[in-house]
Parts: sequence; C-alpha cells; structure tokens
Amino acid sequence: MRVRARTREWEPSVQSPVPAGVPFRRTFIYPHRSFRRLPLTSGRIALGLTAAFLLSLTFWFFAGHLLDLHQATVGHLLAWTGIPMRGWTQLVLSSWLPSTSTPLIPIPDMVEVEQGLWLAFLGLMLGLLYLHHRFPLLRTLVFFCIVLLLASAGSVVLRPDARLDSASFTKLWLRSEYLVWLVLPWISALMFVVFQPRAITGVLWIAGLQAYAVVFSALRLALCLGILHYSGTLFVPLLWFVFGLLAIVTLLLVAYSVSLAAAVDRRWGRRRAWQG
Amino acid sequence: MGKAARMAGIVVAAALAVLTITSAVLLVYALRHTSFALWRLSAAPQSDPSELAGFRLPHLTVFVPMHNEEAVAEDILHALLECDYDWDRLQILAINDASSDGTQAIIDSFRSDFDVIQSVTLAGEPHGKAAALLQAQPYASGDIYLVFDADYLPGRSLLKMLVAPFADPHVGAVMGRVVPHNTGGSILASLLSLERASGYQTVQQSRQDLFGLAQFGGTVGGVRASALAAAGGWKADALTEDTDLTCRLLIGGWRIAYVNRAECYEEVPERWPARERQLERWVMGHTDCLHRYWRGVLSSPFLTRFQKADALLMLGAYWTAPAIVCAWLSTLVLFFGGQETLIAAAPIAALLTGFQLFANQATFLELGTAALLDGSRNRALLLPLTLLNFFASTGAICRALVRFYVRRWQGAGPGGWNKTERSRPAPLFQTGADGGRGGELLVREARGLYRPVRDKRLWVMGRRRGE
Repeated sequence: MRVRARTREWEPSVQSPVPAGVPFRRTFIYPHRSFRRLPLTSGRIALGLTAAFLLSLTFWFFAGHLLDLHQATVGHLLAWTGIPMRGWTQLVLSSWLPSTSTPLIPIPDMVEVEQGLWLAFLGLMLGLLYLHHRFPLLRTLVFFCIVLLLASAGSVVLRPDARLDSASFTKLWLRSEYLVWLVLPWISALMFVVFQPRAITGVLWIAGLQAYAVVFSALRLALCLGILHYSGTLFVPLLWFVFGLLAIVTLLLVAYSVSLAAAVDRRWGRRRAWQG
Repeated sequence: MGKAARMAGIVVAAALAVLTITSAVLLVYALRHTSFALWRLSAAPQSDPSELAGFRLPHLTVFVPMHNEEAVAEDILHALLECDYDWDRLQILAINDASSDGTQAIIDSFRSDFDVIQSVTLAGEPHGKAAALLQAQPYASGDIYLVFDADYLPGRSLLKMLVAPFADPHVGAVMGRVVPHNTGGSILASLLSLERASGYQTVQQSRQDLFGLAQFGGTVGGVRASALAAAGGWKADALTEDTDLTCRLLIGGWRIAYVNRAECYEEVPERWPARERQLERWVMGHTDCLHRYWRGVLSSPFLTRFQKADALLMLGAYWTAPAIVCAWLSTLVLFFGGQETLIAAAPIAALLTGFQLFANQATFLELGTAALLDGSRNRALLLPLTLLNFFASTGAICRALVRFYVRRWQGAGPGGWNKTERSRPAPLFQTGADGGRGGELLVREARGLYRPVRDKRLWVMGRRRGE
C-alpha cells in the first residue's frame, strides 16, 4: 500500500518553526546546500508569465507614446549637453512599429575631422592594446573591439562616400532596442520571479527593470549621438556593440546579481564573515 | 546586376544563413540549460545515495596521481588518512609520475609510517594522468577505485559517501561535488568558483535527476573495477580520461551516480594562463571524445532518445564558442554590408541579440541558481564579472578547437597532457618537530586557504605504524 503525505514547504523568510519568544540561539538549522530547493508554485509561474505578458502588451499598444517619450528624453539630453540640433525629422521605423520624431545631429564628413579623428583612433587603439596586454581576462573582449575598430577604419578608407546620418543611426538603434524591450519582460520573468522569497518583489523587479531599460536606452543613444557629432562615423560599430548589446546584458546582470544577493539574505539569513 | 553587387548579395545571404543556424544551435543549448536551472531550483533531488554512507564498505583503492606535487602531496595524503574508512578495506596508491621535485620523498615518508599507503613510481618523462592510472592499476586490490587529484582535500566522511552509490549494481561510476577553496586568491578564482558551483550544484544534479547521466569528472569520483574492465580500462592516449570513461560506461549501459553531498575542496587556477592551459586540455580531450564516441552514443541500446540527445549536447558543448564567434562575424558582415542591408538586417541582428541574451541568460540562470542554493551572497554579486570570463573562455576555447582540428588534420593525436599549475604556497599540514602528523585545527585565512593551529592532535595519531 502506498501512503502519500502532503507536507508544506517551510518558507524561512516568512515563517519561523520556533514559537515567538522562545530564546533559541538559532531559529532553524538550515538544510545542507546539497538538499536545498525552492519550490516553484503554479501561482508564481502564472504571476511571472502574466506580468511579462502585460508588460509586453503595454509596450506593444503604447509603442508610439513610449517612442515619443524616449526621443523627447534624448532631445532634452542633447540640448542639456549643448550638442547642436538642426531640427527634428519624422522617422518611419518599420511597417510594424509606429513612426516617431528624432533630432537631427550634424555629423561631420571624414575629411572635416580627419586629423583629430585619426589621433583619437590611434589613442583608442593604443589603450585597447594596453588592456589586451595587461589584463589577460579582457583579451577576447578587447580583441573583438579592435577587430570592430579596424573593420570600421577599413570601411571608412575604402568607401569614403558612405555616410550614416543621425536619423539612420537612431532608426537602427530603436528597431534593435524595441525588440529588446519586447523580449526583456519574458527573460526577466524567468530570472527574477522564480527565486524571490516574495513573488511580488520579483514582479516589481521586472517592472522596474523594464522602465529603466527605456531611460537607459535614451541615455545611451544620446551619448552615442554626441560621440557621432564629434567623431563622425568611424566609431559607429564600436558604439553599437559596447553601448548596445553589451550594455543591455550588463544591465540585466547587475540587476540580477543585486536581486539575487538580496534574495540570498532573505532566504537563508545574512552570514557572518567567517561563514564565507 | 553587376558582379560586385551579386557577390555582395551572396555574402549577405551567407551571413544571414550562418546567423540563423548559430542562433538555432544557441537556442537549443539555452533551452537545455534553462531547464536544468529551473529543475534544480524547484525539484527535490530524486535520490540521495549518500544516505547509504557507511552501510556497505567494499574494498577500496584510492588513486592519487602526482607529478611534481610537493606543495600539495602532504595535504592530500594526510586528508585521506583522516578519512573514517576502515583501514582494513582501504588501499591508498600514491602514484609518482616522474616527479623531479620532492614528491617521492613525501610519499616515502608517509609510506614508512602508514601501511595503508603504497606507492607506484613511474620513471622517465611524465606519462599523464590516464597513463599513470593505467600503469598503477595492476597494484590495485580494491573492488572500487576512487581517484583524487593531488590538490584536493577530502573531508572525513567523503570516501564512505562516494562508495555508497555502488550498492546499486547498475552504478558503474560515481562523482562527488568539487568546491574550490582558494576563492579569495584572485578574481579569476572567485569566478571559477561560481562556475564550478553552477556545474555541480545545478548541471550535474539536474542531469542526474532528469536523464540519469551525470558525468564522471576524473577526480572526487570513482569507478567499479568490473565496470572499468568491461569498458576497456583507462585509455592512456586520452587527454580527458574522465569524459572518455564516461562515454564508454554510458554506451555500455552503466549508470553514473552523482552525490551532491560528497563535497571535496580543490584549488582552481588563480592566473589566466594556467586556466587557459587547463581549458585547452579539456576542450581538446572533450572534442576528441565527441569524434570517438558519437556513433556509439547514437547506436547504444541502453540509452533512451533523450539520453542520447543530452549526451551529444554535452559532448558538443565546446562548439557553442565558435558558434557565438560565427554569429558575431555574421553580424559584422551585415553591419558593413551597406546602408540598405544595415537597416534591413537590424531586426535580425536584434533577434540574435535576443538569442544571445537568452543563451547567456540560461548560463547566468544556472550560476544564479547555484549561488542562491549555496547561500553565497558575495558570489551572487560577482555575476556581472562573469561576462569577462565568458568572453575570455570563448576566445580560449576557439583557439583550442583550432589547434585540435589542425592536429587532427595533420594526423597527430589530440595533444600532450599538461599539469594544472598549483597556487598553494606551502603544505597546509606541517610536520611537527617530533615528526608527528597530527591533524591540526584548521583556521580559515583571508585568501580562503586553511592554516593549521598546532597541538590539536586528532585521532589519526593513534593509527601510525607500530602504535
């Protein structure tokens, strides 16, 4: 005969197995780490998926407002930092995204900035080579940046007539970022909701990260447009990689690690220094 | 259409094809690793073989291969002596693989004090771990063989926990959990500690639970003597004898058990060159196993379809690094492919971005799961820095794969064995003025290493020869 027993999982963050007022030195002896687990309830999964769905839906339906808000922030930042604007132009992103306006930034021809630009290029290359030599752990990342720079320089030398204006760069940026905004809630749901002691904390992390991703994107785009204004198109690929993909992944990881550290504290209690 | 335009079109189409294929490959791995992380986080371990620890004590031989290990040899032998295994059923085989330092003197000193320790000395050039094990095997008398690298520090009950799963006759090999102790040595050591935690706490446990396919790691583990014989013994030419044996055991229908509770401390590389050499050996050995055994895995009657798929994904794991590099290069081609391509390719590049995020996120989810279950708050805060490790490892793996395939094309073997550099400055267990090797009380220092406090003699003193 098989006997099935239903037991409730103990939640260290919300309940103590010892009655209040009992003077125990420890309220609970934690299970060894090899046996620990954090049960995923169907309610929690549903909450994470619902939050991700609602956020994606919001970003889909209010795309026009969000893009306008994003672009207005970029405009304010450029005006605040004194980057000259030649006006605004309407930008058609794609057939499935609403159009938005974007500031037009004068980007100099390679001839206009040639000497200073190549000096900056040389300085950057030397800096990257130093990093490559000095920090072995950074080598592959730095090598990739060097390849990007060299490819970009080759492109500029071989096709000096090819130009990228600020509107085209913004178009490229927004199409990539918008996809990230649509995907991000689902990734966040997986990363933040499953392990937080309280599910609502996970949902707040998702929403907060999503909001910050928009602001962060505006900041990065304004920075890239500023650099484009002073340096022309030579650094476009590097900017796109470093301030695009790499920045998003880094943002996600920083948020993940901070929320994880807080979750560890709440789950198992903060450890003393000698506990490692 | 001009010839140049046609060529440009072909290059862009090829880049798109590469991008699609690599994204698909990365997605498969992303799904696999996300499943592992979620499973480990939420599901209770299916079985816990360590519950049987101490109930059955088979005759046991512990192999300790050493090549120039004078900094760590004393510690591993001392730790093994302190284990609570019945000495009448224990044989410790210290293998000196052509050391040119004081390793042999340390082994001789222990052998003269303790009957349970025997030594095998290999002369000439270093043979490598697999060859050393093969040559020492005729001297082994146990039914179960356990293997420890010389830099490991087994705890007192570890041997009992590791032999417990062999109570199941289907189990051919066992693997314990490796925990780095020099995490304070450098940032790299801390990152590798996080990586090890993910590899054992999350991946090994999940693979054990989901597919019954844990991987024998060549140290902190062991194999049943009869299973080893049935699988063809140690292969002297294998760079990663552990993966090689894992494949042969699985193809032959043996199970490999993972005991998450059986933790053993090890030393991870603190410097990148040492890590790169270690990674190179793993990549070349692992990929060599892929070429040797993929047909055997597919045709094995003992493995289910899911097990076969998982085993092949495990063997091909290092191919994800060139896949990522190919994806990067394709994105570059699309980026420089011209204005029209640039705008048109943006969504595809962004899709790749999504996949990359997803793939990386799966890895990071595993790392996070391990840090959370281990209760390692500080390690969790290191997660953003793992990006550096990710980039560095991608480059190192690609270089190792290129070297492997060049050697293969030239008809050479997978390459020579190289020993991982040790960073322990001196033995942790110091021999006292009276020559006694009392087990001292260990105190943890800032770098994560343990230092002994003298005059705290443990029970091992009473078990010296003639006392």
